[in-house]
Amino acid sequence: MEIETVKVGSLTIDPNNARRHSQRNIDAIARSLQRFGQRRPLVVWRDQVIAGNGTLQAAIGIGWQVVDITRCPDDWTQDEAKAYAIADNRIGELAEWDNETLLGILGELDDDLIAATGFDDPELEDINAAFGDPPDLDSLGEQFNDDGDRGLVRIAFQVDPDIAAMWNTILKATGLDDSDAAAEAMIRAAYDGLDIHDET
Amino acid sequence: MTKPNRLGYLGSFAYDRGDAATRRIYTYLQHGFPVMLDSGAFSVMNSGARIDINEHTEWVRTWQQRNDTGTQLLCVALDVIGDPAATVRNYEKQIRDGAVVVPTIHYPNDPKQVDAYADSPSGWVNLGGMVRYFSKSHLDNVIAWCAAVISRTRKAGVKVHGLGATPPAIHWLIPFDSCDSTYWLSGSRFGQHSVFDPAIRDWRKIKTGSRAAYKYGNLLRDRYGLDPEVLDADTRGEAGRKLSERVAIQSHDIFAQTFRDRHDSDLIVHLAGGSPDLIGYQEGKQS
Repeated sequence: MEIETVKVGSLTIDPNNARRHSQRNIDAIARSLQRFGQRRPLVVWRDQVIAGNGTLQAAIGIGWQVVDITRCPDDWTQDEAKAYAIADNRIGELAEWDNETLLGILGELDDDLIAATGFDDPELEDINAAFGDPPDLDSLGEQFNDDGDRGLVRIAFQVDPDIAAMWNTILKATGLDDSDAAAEAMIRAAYDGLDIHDET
Repeated sequence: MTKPNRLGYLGSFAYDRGDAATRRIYTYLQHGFPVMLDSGAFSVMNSGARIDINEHTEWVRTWQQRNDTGTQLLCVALDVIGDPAATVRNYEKQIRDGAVVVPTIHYPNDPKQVDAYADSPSGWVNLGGMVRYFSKSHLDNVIAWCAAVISRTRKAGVKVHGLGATPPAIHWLIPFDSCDSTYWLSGSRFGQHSVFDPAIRDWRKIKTGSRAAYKYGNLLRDRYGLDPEVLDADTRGEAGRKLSERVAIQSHDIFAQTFRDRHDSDLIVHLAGGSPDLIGYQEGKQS
């Protein structure tokens, strides 16, 4: 493989590129170029970039004048160039991250190197939450709040005004000024009266 | 040591009596599928009926004498919904009467209550009160409660079953030994499949006829051995019903394996009711 250094202005972006490069993607490539330099040539067919369009955009964005390229054979047809452009993206896409190994490696790197990997902080936090080790049960258990959310549900229903008046009379007569507590007590009493289960 | 089957059956005293049910449950045990027998107290309470504790105790004793298969059979003590003290009294009576029943502690009761079951003859305890979640903070508190209970049971060497504990968010953090799913077959009821995706550790809803199955083509082909076209088809009719059941069973199998891998555990997922064709599924995997 022969590598040439050419002016960025001599290259054209693939107008039929099936991959979309978001600004976030371009920014990540730019950080990588700035930290590591260009370590892989763009692939060019008749002055058109067919692999590395994002890299070319990022290089232009950070003011680079030249980039390294390698050219496809002269006798390649346009269809061959199109197929290679897709293969270049698709084949890598078929690999999967081993997230546990990834977390282990990232855990050993300095922040400036992590910033050049293309992972951002929220994404790393998500991966850590999703693929990090199971939590320590003792520590997690300490977060239990016995006064906390018991999953209380609201029961609402409509009644005639005279029933509402009766309810208020009950609250007054029993001295229960908390409607929730009064309703719970009455439901429990009614439930106990059903005698659903045997007890010893 | 061979790990127990990832899938099991959850039956109930309320619905699984009679010769046909007994034969079916025994067949599960013969084929190595763990069985848990609940009292069905919650369902019975909602219907206004009653359960006689002595009848239930006798049923449990009979099952425990009948099970000569070597497969795990757990029988849940007769709960008194909303009354922890009566629940404990029931458990103690059933143990005294010779039924090796599994006690239940309910969220949000004090996790220390589980210490009373450190020498539970079954070696198991159930965690209940986790069927519905009303908010993120509720779910977080349930998870913390489970952790508080299990950190105690582990020290005592007691295993834990999460009653109705099916949300992946709980299993991701909590190493249950066993759980059950009442809604395992819901996909076939609503014209959709629920497919467990280990990559996101959650369920994918695939509505039949919507072409949604194609979106998850790799998952279906690689993990389920299914053509997405098959899952996009109408599930009405006998063939559709069988497909839905197969997908539901396989999904729970993959669910169990995902969380076994996560916690290096022997998690068993018991499918509740509906006569799941576990044996046909197992034979299909072997062929």
